[in-house]
Amino acid sequence: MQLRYLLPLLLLATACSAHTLTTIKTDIVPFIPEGSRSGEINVTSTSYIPSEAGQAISLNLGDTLKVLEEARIKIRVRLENTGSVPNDVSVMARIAPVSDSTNIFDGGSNTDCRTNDCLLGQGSLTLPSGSNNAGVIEIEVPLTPTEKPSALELIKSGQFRIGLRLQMNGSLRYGLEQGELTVQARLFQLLNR
Amino acid sequence: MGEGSRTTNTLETKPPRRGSNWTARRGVLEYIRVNMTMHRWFAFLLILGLASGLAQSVRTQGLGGLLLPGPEAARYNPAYAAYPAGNYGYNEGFRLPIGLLGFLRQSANPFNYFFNKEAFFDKTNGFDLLTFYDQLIYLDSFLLNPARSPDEVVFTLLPSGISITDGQGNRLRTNFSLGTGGSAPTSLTPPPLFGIPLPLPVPGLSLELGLFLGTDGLSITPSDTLRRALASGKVDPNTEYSLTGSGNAQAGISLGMAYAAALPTVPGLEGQLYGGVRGEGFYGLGYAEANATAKARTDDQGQFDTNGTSYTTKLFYSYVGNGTGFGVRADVGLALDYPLVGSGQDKNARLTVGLGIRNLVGFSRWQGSEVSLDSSGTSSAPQPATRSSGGFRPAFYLNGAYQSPLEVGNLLVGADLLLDGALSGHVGLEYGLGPARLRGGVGYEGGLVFGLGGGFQTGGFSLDTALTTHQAPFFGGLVYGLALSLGFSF
Repeated sequence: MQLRYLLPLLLLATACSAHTLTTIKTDIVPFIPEGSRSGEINVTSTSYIPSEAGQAISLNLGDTLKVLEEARIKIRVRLENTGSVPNDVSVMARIAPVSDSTNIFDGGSNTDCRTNDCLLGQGSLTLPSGSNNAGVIEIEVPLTPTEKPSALELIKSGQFRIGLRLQMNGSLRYGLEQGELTVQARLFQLLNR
Repeated sequence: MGEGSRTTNTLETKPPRRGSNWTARRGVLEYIRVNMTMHRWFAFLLILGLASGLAQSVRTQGLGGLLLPGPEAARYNPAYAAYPAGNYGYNEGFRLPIGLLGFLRQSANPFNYFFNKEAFFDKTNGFDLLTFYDQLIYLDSFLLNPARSPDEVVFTLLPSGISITDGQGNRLRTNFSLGTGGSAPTSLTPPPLFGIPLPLPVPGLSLELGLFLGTDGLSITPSDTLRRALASGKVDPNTEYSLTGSGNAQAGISLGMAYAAALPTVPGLEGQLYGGVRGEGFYGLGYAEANATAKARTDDQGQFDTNGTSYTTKLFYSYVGNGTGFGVRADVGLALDYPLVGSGQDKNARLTVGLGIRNLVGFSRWQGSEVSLDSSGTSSAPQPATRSSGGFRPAFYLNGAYQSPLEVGNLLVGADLLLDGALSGHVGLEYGLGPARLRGGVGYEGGLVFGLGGGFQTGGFSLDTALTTHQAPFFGGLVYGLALSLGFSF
């Protein structure tokens, strides 16, 4: 949903007190092409959701972004080992400015997300073979003035790219189950600018 | 790191069109800010109008909002202008404006914006428009716990469901209406803030010049589809969802002429009948009407379609120099006083009923300007526009009261019903014992209201107090208020 179109509603309902924190939880999965959200790999390899270039997202919330206080990104990937031996799987989420190169997974340990791609979060597990061969990796990243502040600044710019890298040592079936973006702002503070 | 294909999808369809006559490219907030100077007085009209229209006496508040037969109710039934004030009357003295103390609260003090911005924008106890609004419309009471906006409002728009909740997950009301909803003007002007009675030589005939300020209402209305979606938490494919907010305010000078008298005895009808008529015209000083609608449409898969969302905002305004406004209306009323003169304790008992019909015939018309802004970024320069209403749009007011001496003390009970676009009503009871009064009542004014009060009169001194409750606007919850009046006579 185009978040900026919520503005009249937000104004009507919440922008009337200095203490009211407006939280918007929205889904970014629909912005990833459906064919890129899931897949099956039969060899030891690396895979990307949706691609090495990531998914460009534009949050046109107007002035609201100027008073954005916090954000949170929650990602959940479902995994299933389709091989006959245990499979070590890792998932890495990275974020990058729109101006970054076509690969948002080459920035290494960069921590300034406003200038180059940087790590949002990662997780790993070992999937056994056999009947109990499925699992999930959840990555939940709070972005605050003290935790990953440059990533928060990038979100506040309204333009960013985000992507996932999956690494495994065997055949695997995967699917992106959740991609939730939460932003929080005190809209009343717009009057103080 | 060469350039390659990028997957691009955005939350926006297209940038607002540049070069429009207004500063639409900065969005609604910028629009409001830029035009604040121009329209701020209309905002004050809206808020102050609400305050003036809802002011009540301490006794009425103690009775849960019940208005007893008598001249105080002549605004709703012109026959009561001729009704003896002493029948149900009660001299409660001077109403202390203790509601003003409520504005000393940091959260209800708008003047901090000019004198203490740090306090005004404090993220814990800063200004809260809802607190200010609540105290303003209950200006006769000091609100002990005025309405407060939630600390957090959560809009969830996920495949698992949609909802609007507070930080604790409690669903917020998205359907709110005050008065007629504020979507059109009416000739049913509010009671004047200041009335100047002009003496006339004919008994029963009165002329009053007044300055009025008020609103027909405020409303936030979800579409049926959105209401169902918020109830179930699920959205349907290929469905449009919308939320509309409306409000208006008007100010003007009114001139009312009324005639009320005790009618001749009607054969077969016991008791005394009173009748009254009133004609009122007004010259408009200002009118503002705002309307905003947000829409979203889902696609075949039940996802919100990025091309199917939009909003529109419209503002109509008229003020002296920019446009004109005028209106006329006619009111009629009857009241029957039925003295239950009997023996024993029923002696001097009284039963009174009245029916007032305001705006039996009415007409109002405002000529002014209209501006609009939509989600494509298109805004319009002020265009000439007209708002009018007319015809048979009556507002009914039915009330009744009964009072009777008891073996010890005396009892008064009453009820009223007002149909004025929206329905409201009250029932109340007062027990008098010597110089003391105890009273209580319950009413419905879009939400339940309660009142509990007492009064004491002796010698040259009187004291009345009331504890009231009402539902906080928008977010619900009970608000408690305290009203006080003092009287001295020498």
